[in-house]
Amino acid sequence: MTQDAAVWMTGLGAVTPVGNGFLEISQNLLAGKSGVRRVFGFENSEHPCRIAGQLGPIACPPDFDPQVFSKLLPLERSVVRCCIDALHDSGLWEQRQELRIGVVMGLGAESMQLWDNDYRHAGVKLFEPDRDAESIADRTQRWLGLSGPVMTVSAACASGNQAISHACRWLELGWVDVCLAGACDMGVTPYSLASFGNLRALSRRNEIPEQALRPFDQARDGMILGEGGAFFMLEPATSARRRNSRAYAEVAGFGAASDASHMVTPCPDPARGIMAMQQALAMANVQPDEIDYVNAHATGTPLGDLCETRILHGALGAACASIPVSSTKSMTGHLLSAAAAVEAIACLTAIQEGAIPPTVNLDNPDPECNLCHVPNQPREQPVHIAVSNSFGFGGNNTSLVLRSVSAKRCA
Amino acid sequence: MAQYFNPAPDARRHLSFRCELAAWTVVRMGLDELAALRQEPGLRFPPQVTPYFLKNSDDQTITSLAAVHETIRLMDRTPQDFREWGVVSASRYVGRGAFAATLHKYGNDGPWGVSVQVIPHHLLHSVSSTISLSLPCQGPCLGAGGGPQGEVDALLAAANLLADPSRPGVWVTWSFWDPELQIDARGKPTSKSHCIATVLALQPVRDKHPRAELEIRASRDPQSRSAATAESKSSLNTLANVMLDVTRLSPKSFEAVCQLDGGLELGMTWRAPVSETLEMPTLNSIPAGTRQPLVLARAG
Repeated sequence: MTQDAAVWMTGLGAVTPVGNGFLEISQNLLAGKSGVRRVFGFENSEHPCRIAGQLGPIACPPDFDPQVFSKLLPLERSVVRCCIDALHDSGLWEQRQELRIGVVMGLGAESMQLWDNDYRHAGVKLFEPDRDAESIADRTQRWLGLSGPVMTVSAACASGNQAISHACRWLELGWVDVCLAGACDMGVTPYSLASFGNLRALSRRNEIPEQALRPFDQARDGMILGEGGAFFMLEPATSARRRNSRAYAEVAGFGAASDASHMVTPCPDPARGIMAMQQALAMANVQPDEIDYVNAHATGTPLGDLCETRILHGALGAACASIPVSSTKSMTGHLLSAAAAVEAIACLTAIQEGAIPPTVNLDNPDPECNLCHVPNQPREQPVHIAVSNSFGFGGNNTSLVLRSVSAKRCA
Repeated sequence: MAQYFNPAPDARRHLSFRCELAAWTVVRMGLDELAALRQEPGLRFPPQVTPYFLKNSDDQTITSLAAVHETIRLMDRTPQDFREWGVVSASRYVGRGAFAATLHKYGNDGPWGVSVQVIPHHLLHSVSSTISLSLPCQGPCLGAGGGPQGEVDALLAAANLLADPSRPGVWVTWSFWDPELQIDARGKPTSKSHCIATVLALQPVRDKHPRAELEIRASRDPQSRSAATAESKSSLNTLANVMLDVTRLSPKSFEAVCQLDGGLELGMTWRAPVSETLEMPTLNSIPAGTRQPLVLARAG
């Protein structure tokens, strides 16, 4: 991507199990603090998995009617909070109605979470869906007074990366001046905890929640659900420079490919995951040995982590042995549709703070997951190029390359 | 502040995305037909699509899949020809029946009664993933929208996928129940309805004047910069119906434009020769239980 066409992340808003906003999340990720706790909010004593990374109450953002906010669904609250925070963080809140601001949302289970919440409060939207036909994306646009196009996409657990790539395309086409892109998911619900639990995808280490999720560890026994999300303000580098805006990073490359292998199980053939990574690196014009950090998808399932190891070796070749890899899901849990968006913040943390967040609970790395791990403690080193992998049900493979803006300027 | 983004309003880029509409199929199926198709997939699908493959699929997935395979037949191609294509599916309230059943079972049997199939097969990504698996095609696969106005979302997502010059094409599917299915507490249908799926086979523009073309561009109408309304998005459906009406009249060509939300507009152009025009009833008048594919233009 030429410097003129570069897209920068100039603002962000996030609500996660390890904190809200960039500073708090970064500090907690680097401190190795887990957000996994015993599940609260509904009876769960009969569930096979009773732990998750849940959010506490989401505070009403400034400039939003508290009464309206209190009536929003949890998923909408997280979306609105993230978008408003991203607008403020980018310095564009006051100008939001002067600009064509687009919104691309990664929401994988919007309807089900709406119906579930309504059903639990004796509502009938599940049986009369047209009663509430306006989407969260449309409502958010209306509430915030934005005038650009809006879109909802889902690539299962890779939705956040897809949303960011679509926003970059809109900027390239000149359809928007700036674009909010990200994803939210409030997937810690009775039915999803039960469904993933019955699938045996969730860890059953209920006794010590913060030690349960163990990506790449020999003793890993499944993922832990998390909830929350993150939205980014994506902006052409040209306008960001003109207004002297801070930039978290440049969105340098993106790749996506499907396995077409199984609706649930990761594909044993790493070819399409490798292709997604190689596409992203080619778009960013980055060689494997230039990568400083990979935030792995690594959910802590026995098969998934092994498959991703094969993908990393296939895509990065000999360089794989020395590229630090970590899974921040070990602290946040798996935020499903929102996972990629929140893990982009882990990459921004590495770029901005010069330190790589660790994989916590990685006490005995699985020899078959032979990667350059960052176990339990952060690794201090400059990070100019970070790659975030996100894979999803249905064989979705995505990879996002983020580049430090200072490195770009120095080049 | 706006000057940082657009120093001269007239200089704003109005870049457009153009693609060729290689083929278009509409399939409409009732509950009985869907049940029969689950039992005997060979009625519409190639051998690799077995009853086991369809066992957990949503009805909107099966109808969309039928429309894709019908389109492949009409294009005189094989599923293998679409290996690198992407898939974008805008389903409307997909998984509602399955989710009602899930909540019912959870209420009666507790967590152990909940099916493991709801999340993989009945969420927004599920239709496109199943199509990807069925063909198989290994480009990106996405769900888009999710509600009544998801058709625009799907076109916008497809535009992004086709921006990759190595992408030979993208399947776009739109599916919904007409009228919206009534269900009981167990998720079982209590009303008659039909599932309708429209499939667009979109390819990069190969000729200077493709026979059928879609173009999405920043609107030239400054008024359209106002905030989105449901009406503006639903105008796409209106346009689709107009398009079907016009093709029924066998014109040599037509052009239409509809305002999308957020300052975008969609143009549709059709230059198909009269000899290739097929008689086609409008979407809302397709007789129940019949299959009425429409070919706008043959590939190649």
